[in-house]
Amino acid sequence: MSLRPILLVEDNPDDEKLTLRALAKNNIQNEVVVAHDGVEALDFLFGGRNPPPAIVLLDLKLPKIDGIEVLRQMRAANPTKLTPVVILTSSKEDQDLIAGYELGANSYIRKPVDFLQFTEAVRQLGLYWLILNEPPPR
Amino acid sequence: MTEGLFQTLVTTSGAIVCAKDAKGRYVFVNSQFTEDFNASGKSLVGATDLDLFPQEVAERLRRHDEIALGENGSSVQEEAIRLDGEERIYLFNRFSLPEEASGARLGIIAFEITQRAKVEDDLLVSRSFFEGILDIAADAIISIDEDQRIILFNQGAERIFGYTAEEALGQPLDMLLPMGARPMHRHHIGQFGRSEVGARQMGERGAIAGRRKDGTVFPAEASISRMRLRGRTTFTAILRDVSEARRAEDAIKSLNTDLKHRAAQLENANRELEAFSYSVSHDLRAPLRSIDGFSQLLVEDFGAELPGEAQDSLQRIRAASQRMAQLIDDILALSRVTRTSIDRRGVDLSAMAMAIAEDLRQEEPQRNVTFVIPQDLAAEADPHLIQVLLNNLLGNAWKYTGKHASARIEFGRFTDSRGRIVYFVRDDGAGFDMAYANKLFGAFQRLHAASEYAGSGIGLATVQRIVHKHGGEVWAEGAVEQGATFYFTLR
Repeated sequence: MSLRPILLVEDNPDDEKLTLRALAKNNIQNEVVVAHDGVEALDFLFGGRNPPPAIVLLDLKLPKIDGIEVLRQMRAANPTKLTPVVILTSSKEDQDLIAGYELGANSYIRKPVDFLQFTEAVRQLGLYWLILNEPPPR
Repeated sequence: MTEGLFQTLVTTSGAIVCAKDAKGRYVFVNSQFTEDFNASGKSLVGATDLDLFPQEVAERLRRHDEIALGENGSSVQEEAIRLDGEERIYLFNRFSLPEEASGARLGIIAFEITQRAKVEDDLLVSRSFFEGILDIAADAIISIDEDQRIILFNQGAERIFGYTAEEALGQPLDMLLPMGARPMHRHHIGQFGRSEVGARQMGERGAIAGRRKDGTVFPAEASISRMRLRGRTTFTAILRDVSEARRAEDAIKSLNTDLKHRAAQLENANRELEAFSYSVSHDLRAPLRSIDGFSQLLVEDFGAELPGEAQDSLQRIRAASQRMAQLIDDILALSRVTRTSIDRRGVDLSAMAMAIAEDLRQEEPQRNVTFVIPQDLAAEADPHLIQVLLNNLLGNAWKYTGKHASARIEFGRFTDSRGRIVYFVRDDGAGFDMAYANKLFGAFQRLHAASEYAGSGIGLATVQRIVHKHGGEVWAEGAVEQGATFYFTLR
């Protein structure tokens, strides 16, 4: 069975590189597709060319369409309604946490500044969402 | 006229009729005289007033008799006559008589008017009573007749309008009104005069105004009443100059507007601060992640080629970025305390402190720290803010006892001499020099080097803000290596 890709929605190239690095370091084999803003993310998800991803790592503050809106549209549409979404962001403001969970985010992780902690967080979320967790049926 | 009729008139009229000669001796008295003044029936032959009345009365009567005789005419006079301890008032009508055989020179017809005099007296008293009230009233009290001419103008009216009563009485009411208001006012009075209502508040259709002698116009409040007396209608207005009240009201209104404006500005500023904090929390951290992350990548990717000193430098860069991230978080927490409004509820402080103690123990299970927390500490406070406060105080106690082999941290409560409930967190750790106690609660103020005890210097500033938000006070006592105690009240 071919692994479904991971969709990383991240506009900051540094964060993108660090996240990719952390994923690689933890031997996560899934292909990682990067969307650099909300429009690219929605295009990947609803463009009809791609299977739904195994997991979406979603930043909140994004150009054009923000992460909250991406999440809203995902939860409103059938193929992505059940796709695991992990919010991966800098903010831990209550308003973002509430909005994220209200719209059905599966998890909310604040990116640690310490890269080692960040790597550990990515390791755990990869282990949990890609290996331990039983995904919804296709 | 017959003698008989004359006799009847004199006897039955109820009037006192008498005549005296030139020396004041009685020549004739009728039966009414006898009844009133000579009930004991003394002989009146050759008697004068001195034989009938107390000396003082008799002398007065004699004096008045002589005046009437001297003027060779007549006089009408009230006489107070006290007999047997009772005073009666009579109206004496004296008149001189032509000379005749009997020797009578002075005729007197008198009526008792005690009752009427008393009524008049009462009237006088009550009149001065009401005039007194009129004059001490601060309000203007003004009456007008049917032609709207002023018939009463008290001292209050004099003060308010600047006219003397003399100037105002008899004048048309119009002079007390602003020009523009005159026709309308006439109309209203006319209407009121015809209506069934006896009294009403004026100005129900808008504020009324008065006009002073100097022409200035002032806002007023007034009520008016109508009285019908002997077929004539009068109107009385009680009027108060409300310039001062109006000015105060206007000042309050303008203050209010100002305040609303400021509140709006403040709210705006708060919203901006909110947005600013949000972007700080989000955007300042991203570059720090890059600094830390890529430093680590350098070590991971090229560690073998990097001299130890370069590796050390990279570790310092990473440590610094992590410290800065912590600082940002702490500042945000501090600003969040300021921004949020407090929401008081019952908080179980004991449970909260115990949970925090447990968290601290789990972080450093190897440490030997005794927590003393009683079971029953509770407060009416904002649970979220109190959590932050206790995190800081207990966290500090934990941190500053870290260099001791064992430690004791106590959370407690007492009532001070002023009756306030004071909470405290006491430790036996590093303590501080009381000379610097005033620096404890300032943001970024630290009494220990960061190398000695980690920290941003914002924790106690946050504690202070939380306490102030609750209307309480916070202070500390300590000594170097003798531990520290932080006290706070929550109002």
